[in-house]
This record gives sequence, C-alpha cells and structure tokens, in this order.
Amino acid sequence: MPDLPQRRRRFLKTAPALTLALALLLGPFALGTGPGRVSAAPPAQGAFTFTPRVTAIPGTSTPAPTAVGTLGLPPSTTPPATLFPETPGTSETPPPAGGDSTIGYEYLEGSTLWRIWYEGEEIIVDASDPAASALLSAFMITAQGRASAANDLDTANSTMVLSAVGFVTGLLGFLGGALVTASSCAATPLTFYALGGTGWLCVGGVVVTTGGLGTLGVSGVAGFQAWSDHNDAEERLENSTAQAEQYFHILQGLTAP
Amino acid sequence: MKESTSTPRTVKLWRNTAMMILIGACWLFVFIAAAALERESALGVAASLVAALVLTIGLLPGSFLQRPLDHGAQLASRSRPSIVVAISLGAPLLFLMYWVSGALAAWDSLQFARRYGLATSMQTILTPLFVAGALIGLVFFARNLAMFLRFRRAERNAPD
Repeated sequence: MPDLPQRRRRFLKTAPALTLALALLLGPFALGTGPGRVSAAPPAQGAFTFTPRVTAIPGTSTPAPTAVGTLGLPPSTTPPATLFPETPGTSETPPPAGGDSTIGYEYLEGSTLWRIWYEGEEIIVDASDPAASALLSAFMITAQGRASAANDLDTANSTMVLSAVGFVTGLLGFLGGALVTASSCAATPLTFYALGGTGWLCVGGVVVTTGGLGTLGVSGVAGFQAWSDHNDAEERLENSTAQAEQYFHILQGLTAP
Repeated sequence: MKESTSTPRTVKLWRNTAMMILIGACWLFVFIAAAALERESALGVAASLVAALVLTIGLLPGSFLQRPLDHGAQLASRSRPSIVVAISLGAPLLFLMYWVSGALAAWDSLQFARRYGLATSMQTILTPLFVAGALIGLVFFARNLAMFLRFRRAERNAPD
C-alpha cells in the first residue's frame, strides 16, 4: 500500500490533468459556445424602426420618341447567340474573344463583324453573311480548341520537368546508394542480411538505394504519363492548327473583294 | 567465396563515380533553379543556387566533401572489384542515357513550339541544361572506361 507522501505526490500529478480535462469539457458550455448554445439564445437586439424619407421630384418626364433601328446589332461586347447556326455538339455562344496571339478571333463591338487572325494574317468577317457565319463559327471552335491544347501542352511540359527533377534525384540516390552499399556491405556479404553488421553506412546505403529506386519508379511513371499527355496535346494542337488554317483561307476567299 | 582484392583501380573508379554523382547533384540544383526562374519563383532560385554553390565548394580540393569521398574510397578498396567496376561503368552510362533522352525530348518540344508559334521559354532553358548534363555523363563514362581499360592492359602486361 502506498504511503501518505506517495499518495500526495500522485494526487498532485493527477489533479492538474483532471482539472484541465474538466475545463476543456465544460469550458465551451460555460462560455456559451457549445453546439447547443450557438443558436439557442440569439443576442438581444435593440428596437429599430425604419422610416423612409421620400422626396418628391418636381416635374414630369416625357419620353422622347426614339427611332427603333431595324438594322445592325445593339452596341454590346457580347455577340448574340443567334448570330451563328448551331454547331453539332456545342450549343454555347462563343466568347467575344478567343484563341491566342497566333490564331484567334475578336468581336468588334456594336457590329456584326469579327476580326480573325492566323499566323500574322488578319481579316474582318461579317457574321451576318450566311456563307461566312458557319465557317466563322467553326474557326472559333478550332481556335478555342487550339488554345486549350496549347494550355494542356504547357501543363504536361511542367509535369515533365517536375518528374525529370524527381527522376534525377532518384537516379542520383540510387547510384550513390548502390555505390556506398557495394563498398560498405559487399566486403562482408553475410552481414548485409543482418542489417547493420558493417555499420550504419551499409544500412544507410541500402535505405538510400531503395528510396532512390522508389523515387525513380514513381517519377518515371509520372513522367511517362506526362509524356503521353504531351503527345496527345501536340496532336490536338497540330490538328486544330491545320483545321484553323483551312477555315481561315476559305474565309479569306469569301471576304476578298 | 572470391576474396576481395585491394587495387588502386577500384579506388579510382569509385572516386570518379562518386564525383560524378556529386557533380550531377550540383547540376540538378542548377536545373531546379532554371525551372524556378522560368516560373518566377525567387525563393526557389535562391535556395537551389545556394545548394548548388555549397555542393560545389564541398567538391573543391581539401574541402568538406573530400573526406567522405576518401573514406568511401577506403571502403571500396575492401569490396569486390567486379561490383565497383560494374557500378562505375554502368552509372555514367545510365546518367548519360537519361540526359540525352531529356535533351532530345526538350529539343523536339522546342522545334514544335517554334513551328506552331508557342512560348518557347521553358524549352529554350531546358535543352542546354540537358545537353550539359549529358556531357557530364559522357566525360565520366569516357574517363572510367579509359581507366578501366588502362588498368586491364597493365594487369595483362604484368609478369606473372
């Protein structure tokens, strides 16, 4: 049986822990922040009455007669959806500008005109022309697809750089670890299995070699995936560029005087 | 079991390979710094360049990395020569193959970007970095191979 000073010491050790546990348990309730107290008693609000002050505006307004235009579009940055025939697979209105500096398009405000460009060449296309409208729509979709493919290519390139860094780190770890393992463990092969027989250098070498090999494998898989994404984006970009070129030249022929 | 033999060939090959790995680590940090520079990460550039600088200083004659290298070379003299020779000739070759394939991929990407009017900044930085990495691997592979052949010839010519 423990004697009195021992019991006192034990009590002194356990009392603060119990007090802390109780404080943590009951604290939120005491402070009113417990889950049941959050919405139970909302804070009292002072009485408030809103009295609107209405000021009479002198005079009466007479709407001026305005001629309703029958030709042209209202000045807006958003092109109307009805400007283009529905393209299979897409029912969205094209954004007022898209593509990139190489291949792209831009809506000219307050008109039915669009500025489109392809590798330095630029033409203005009238979307109200039924012959040009469908081609223009196709060009825009292609330009958007090309920009998206270029973005995907950039992402894939970044991932490839990251996996290249991981791969080199893994390769260096693997080679360095193998070199250290070979020199420190191979002299006495049996101790290799005993892990530590030749000291921490042997074990460290094994750990680094394994880690390096793991990093090498993971980075290799990530790099391979990024490479396949890169190739896919390149293919999409090539196809989009070829299509855009085709549409652009036809539109160029249509808009030529 | 075959007895391990103490030869200067093993020690020199081991030291050469370890130097290549450390120089490769320096180059890796430069590579990371270039990638960080392209992404406009000032902290990444600074940290990577400091790491590369510390490693480079450590590799200088009589500096702090030379002692572990000597210690490793002493260990290598006790190990099987065939293992050390295999690693010494295989490691630079792996290193070289990796950087060459990287350089080819970066060059291909650079050409593609130029052909289709895309931003070429990353590929422009990466291609010379990969080429320089490949040169490091090539130099060490040639050095290790020459050393291995020289010692082998000397062993054959030595009187029994």
